[in-house]
Amino acid sequence: MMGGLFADISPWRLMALPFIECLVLVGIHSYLGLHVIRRQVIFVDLSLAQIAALGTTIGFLLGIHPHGMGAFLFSLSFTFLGAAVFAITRTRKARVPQEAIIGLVYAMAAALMILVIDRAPHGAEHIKEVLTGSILWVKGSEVLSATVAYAIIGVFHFVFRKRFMAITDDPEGAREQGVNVVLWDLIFYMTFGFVITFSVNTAGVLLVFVFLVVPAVIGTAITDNFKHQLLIGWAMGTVVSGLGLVASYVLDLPAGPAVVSFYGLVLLLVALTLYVVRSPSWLRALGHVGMGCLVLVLLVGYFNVLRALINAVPGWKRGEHHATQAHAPGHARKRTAVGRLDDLDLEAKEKAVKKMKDLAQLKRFFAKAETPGAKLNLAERVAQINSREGAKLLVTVLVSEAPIFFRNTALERLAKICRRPFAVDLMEDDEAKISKVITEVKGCVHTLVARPAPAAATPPRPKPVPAAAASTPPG
Amino acid sequence: MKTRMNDPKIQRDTKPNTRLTALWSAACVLAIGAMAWSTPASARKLYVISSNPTYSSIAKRVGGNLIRVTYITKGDQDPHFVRPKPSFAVQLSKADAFVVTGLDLELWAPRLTDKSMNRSIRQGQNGYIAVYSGMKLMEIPTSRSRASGGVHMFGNPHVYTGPMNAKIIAKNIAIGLCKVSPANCAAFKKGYRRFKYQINRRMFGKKLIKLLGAGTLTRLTVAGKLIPFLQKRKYRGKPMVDMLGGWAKKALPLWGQKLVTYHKNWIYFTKTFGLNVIQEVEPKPAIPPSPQSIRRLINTMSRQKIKVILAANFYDESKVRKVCKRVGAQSVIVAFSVHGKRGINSYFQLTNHWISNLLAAYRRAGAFK
Repeated sequence: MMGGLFADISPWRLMALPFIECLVLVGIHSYLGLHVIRRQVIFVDLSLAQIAALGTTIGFLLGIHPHGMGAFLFSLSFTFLGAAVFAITRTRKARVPQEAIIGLVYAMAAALMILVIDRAPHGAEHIKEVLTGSILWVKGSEVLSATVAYAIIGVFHFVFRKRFMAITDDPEGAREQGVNVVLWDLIFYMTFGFVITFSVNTAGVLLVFVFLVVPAVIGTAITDNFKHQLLIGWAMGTVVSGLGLVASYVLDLPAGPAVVSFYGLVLLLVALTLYVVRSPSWLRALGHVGMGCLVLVLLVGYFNVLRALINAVPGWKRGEHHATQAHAPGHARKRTAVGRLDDLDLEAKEKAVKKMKDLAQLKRFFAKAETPGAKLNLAERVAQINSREGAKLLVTVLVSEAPIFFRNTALERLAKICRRPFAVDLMEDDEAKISKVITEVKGCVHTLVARPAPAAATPPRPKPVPAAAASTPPG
Repeated sequence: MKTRMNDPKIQRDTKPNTRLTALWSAACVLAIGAMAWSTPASARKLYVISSNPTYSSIAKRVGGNLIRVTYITKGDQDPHFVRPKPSFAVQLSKADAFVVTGLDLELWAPRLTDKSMNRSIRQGQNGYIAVYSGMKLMEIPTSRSRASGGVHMFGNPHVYTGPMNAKIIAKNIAIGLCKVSPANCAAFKKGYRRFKYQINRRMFGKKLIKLLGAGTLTRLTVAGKLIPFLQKRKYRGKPMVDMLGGWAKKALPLWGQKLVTYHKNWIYFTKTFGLNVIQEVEPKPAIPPSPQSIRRLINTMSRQKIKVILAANFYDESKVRKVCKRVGAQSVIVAFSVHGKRGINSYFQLTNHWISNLLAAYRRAGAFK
């Protein structure tokens, strides 16, 4: 009964999988990030991630579930196309810097995605999810498959590490030694794209970018030795993503963006520390940092003043609401309980009753009927066919617990059959008067039934009453 | 890069690094301490979490002091989505019951329950309360293609906009709570009956309930035939519509009025009160309007002289207002859920809020002259 208590979830259990996923991501991305920084193609990751997202989105529009194998193949294919573009455009005589092409590809992919997503339900939220990912919800199987995939890529890069280093650091030299640089670039970008596709699905574009760049940047800032850079990157990534997840938990923030912001913060701190440590005069450097802090405080103050000002001036303050979210298909569930309530069309039922002729059947229905409306309907129909039988049923309605309207309608009908008015207001009049009238009605019906006469002729069957007056609420 | 390698300054970086590590480990310890401390102790009351605050407020009416309620999506958020935050999984891990629509409104719910690792609130378990069961759902689609937008596969899941459905919600919650805590079942049933009576009274008024009975009135309302029926039938020579009370009386001027809604989320409300939804602002459910569809909407509205657009306050207000300005219509931007706006703290206030705002808008538009 108190299942919730036994199934209590500790913060560790909740955050363990996201943390492991972070570790796995840090492992491969710190390494690839170093390559990316040396190649000076920082935005290649954002660009490829965006292309991967475009692939997922187009798949989504074509009806492919955004978290399945189909979506992965879609985004992978798109990423390989992107990889080919980047490999070909790394020309020797670069009049246009490759960064420009990378940026363009990013912008185009993003624009195309928005164009495409505009046609899909809850599109804006899908874009948001692609950006921020959902690392908190990562599943064990996803972590496992990512680990295996990254391990394969890692081993591949380890085996060919010299070649990859060569084409990254010194493409000219490699070309002179007879290496096919375009081919190896393509291979590099394809493996890179493969990793990005995998990670974007769980971590989102922003987080992947940060995993890639920040550890590598910190490593590069501290030392020039590739191995040391990698070790620093790994250590940094582990600690920072751990802290980011802790912050996300403690402050109750969305996990992905929390980790991203934490990376930014750490990068800033490291940069400041290095600045102070490396400057010839510690004191002066500290003074600069202090001044920076002062400027920051002033800026915060400025924005607060600005906010107060905006709030004070009427007409400046206007908010807009945005909140719709990704709406994945799937989760099919059977509709069971819906069928329980029949499609009750009140008038149709009434008409059906009016067509019935079999007295015995009508009486059977009357006995079974559950709603006062149905009972009244059936009693009236019986009264049309046989006023004596009908009168008996109408009396049952009159003395029943049914709501007043039904009892009153039965009473009015009985008054017509007995051809005498029963002036009583069932709602307002007191109990004594009501029971007196009911006794009167019973007496009338009793004499009616006792009188030996052919059913349909005497007393003269009341004219079929105009529909509006006679038709009663059905049930 | 090569020049930096030879720079002697860069070799000086070992000492500060150890200092940095010390700092980080201190921060780490602090944060972990805070985390352990922030885990709250469990309470004796049943802990009931619902997907949105409207269900919570109904659950509170049913469970009273025996339960503690909370909700996931805020009142001014789209119920379709929840932003992933760790606290949701933590809350759910402690829940005794999880109240959801049970249809495909809360697509995020299964993942969240999985993450919480709380077995007793999984679908099919005692702690899982689906409020839709026993309702007459509308707009059950005939085709399941995504081409027609974010179609809900089992029918329109925005069930609580119909006051008659609120009674079924309360009933399902009572049944669910009885399963979770059989000892308190009598109290839950009592809470449900009280809520049901309150809804009936506020909807129809005491007099009409005495006259026709809540059952008949409910059936008529669900079929969308309440007012025509009351206008046609008489009690002792007087049309019964004169005996209306409650929301039905208040909303009587709305019967038969035309309007446009932003999303298809008002269908149970409009059916109850006889409002005639001509079109939606969204060209297809959950797809934001494009320039073309806005143009078509403006044409339809001016041709059919539609004076009101009704939208929940989490949709893009500016679009609604723009269209209204173009055709001289009134925009009615309302809270869609309890706590969706300040002062709306119960289901009764929510329904009142909808009716009052619509009445005011039609009045401003001169529809009641």
